[in-house]
Amino acid sequence: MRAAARGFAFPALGFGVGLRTLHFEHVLRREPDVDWFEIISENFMATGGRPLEVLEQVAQRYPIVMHGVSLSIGSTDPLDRAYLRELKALAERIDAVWLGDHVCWTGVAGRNTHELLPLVTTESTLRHVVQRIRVVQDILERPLVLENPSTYATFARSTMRESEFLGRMAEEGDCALLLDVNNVYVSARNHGWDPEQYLSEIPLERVAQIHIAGHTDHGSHCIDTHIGPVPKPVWRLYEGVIRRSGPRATLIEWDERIPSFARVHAEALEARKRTAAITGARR
Amino acid sequence: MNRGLRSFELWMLREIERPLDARRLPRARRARIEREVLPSATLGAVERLALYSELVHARLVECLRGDFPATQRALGAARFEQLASRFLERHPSRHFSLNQLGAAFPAFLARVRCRGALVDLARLERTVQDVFDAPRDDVLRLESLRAWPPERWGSLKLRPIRALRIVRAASNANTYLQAFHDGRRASLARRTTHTLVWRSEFVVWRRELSQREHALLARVVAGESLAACLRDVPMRGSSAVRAWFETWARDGLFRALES
Repeated sequence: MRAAARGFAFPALGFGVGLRTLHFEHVLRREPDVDWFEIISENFMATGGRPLEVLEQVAQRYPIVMHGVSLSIGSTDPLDRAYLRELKALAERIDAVWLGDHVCWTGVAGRNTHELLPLVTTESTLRHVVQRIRVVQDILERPLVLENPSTYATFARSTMRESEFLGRMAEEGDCALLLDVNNVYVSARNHGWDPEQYLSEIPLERVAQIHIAGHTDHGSHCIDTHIGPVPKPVWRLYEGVIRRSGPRATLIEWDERIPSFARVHAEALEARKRTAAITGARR
Repeated sequence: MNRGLRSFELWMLREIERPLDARRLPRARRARIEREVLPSATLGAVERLALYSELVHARLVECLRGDFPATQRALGAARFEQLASRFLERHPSRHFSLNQLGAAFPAFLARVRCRGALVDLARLERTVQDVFDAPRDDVLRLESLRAWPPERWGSLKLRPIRALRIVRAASNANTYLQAFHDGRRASLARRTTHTLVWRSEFVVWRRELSQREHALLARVVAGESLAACLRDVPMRGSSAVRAWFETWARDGLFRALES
């Protein structure tokens, strides 16, 4: 089963790693055996410096997926057309396999908090988000791949479960989903949800990509810090998804106290091993 | 326009853009938060919203620390955080990229009457970032400069690369910044300096200019012809001028020749 949206069938890219500044030299010199890289789109926009040069070199050898943090699809501000133009130009420049962002808002009234803020999950928000997804996809001329963020608060005015919201959003907006399994775990811990039930409500035929990562457990709550190796409960949830969906493009996120490239890559290889054990696939 | 959602977003933004201290929260604010945000089994509504306030603040201050590490050292960590917080209240991010967050920080330090040398240092650190992010240019090769007909030297104009700035300071900001990067101690002192900041092969370089070199280079960069530059900045001999131009060309400061 391959994920699809807007008539685009998302390829099973294999097992990727986030391209981070710390690893630039290693990636350029050693050309590690990684299936693909994901970039934080904004880190390569509004710059003409070395990051862009490195990215262009990396893109010549590896498939690149763009993952943004400033689309603010849930904001009630007008869409930032200049941002979208630049995003599209970058995607074309590096021939990005796909591009995405988060199901959230990052600011309003022209302000950007640079934080992934949770949506009020209502019918009215759903209509608002779906309408914006359609506009963005028309501008970008490709389907969006939108990720469930980690959340630390829920709202009294929300009327539907996040998983239901995501499923309907993907169907009605005809976009794809990036299922962040670590975020499901973090949000479930913070809100007392059942992560298995959450995952069972996600339409897997819309899931183009999966994120796995570490988090920080403060006891009373968890924060999505992308620190350390993937914890056991997140691996368990990941394996459950793969059992139901088959292989999916999977990415390891590691953004705090980033270790050597080899260590991060080892997590990607672990994901490959676990997927192969479930599906029998080699890659 | 989804008015209900907009009003909610504006409210939440107001709450998380400032510190949320549950113990000191006015009753009306607390009541609204408790109406809007559900408690969890372990955290109250205010504590949960405060997580966002803390995350937003921490990320943005951390970004400024990353952009102005030497300024932070010179100010001290506590004073830097205090000023960064005040800066963020007055200059919230309005750009999709965090690269732009600190653009107005040096001017802000000047407005709140920080010591001039600190403002110089912040301006220099910001310039390094601007140069790092500036658009790429194909660099003029030394051979092209050498090939310029001698009889047309007077009309020669050189167009600088876009990743080039000259920073004027009333302090030894560049010496301090270099000492900071080398892990040496230094102190900021008053002294008029001009620092050339440019990017070559994706590395940002800094070099203090002598008064005479600055006088000439500033005019060249401003687009004046060589004849006009030399009229304003008399030189002792043509070999000194030639040496400077060759150094500048070797450093990759120019992208085009014009007459």
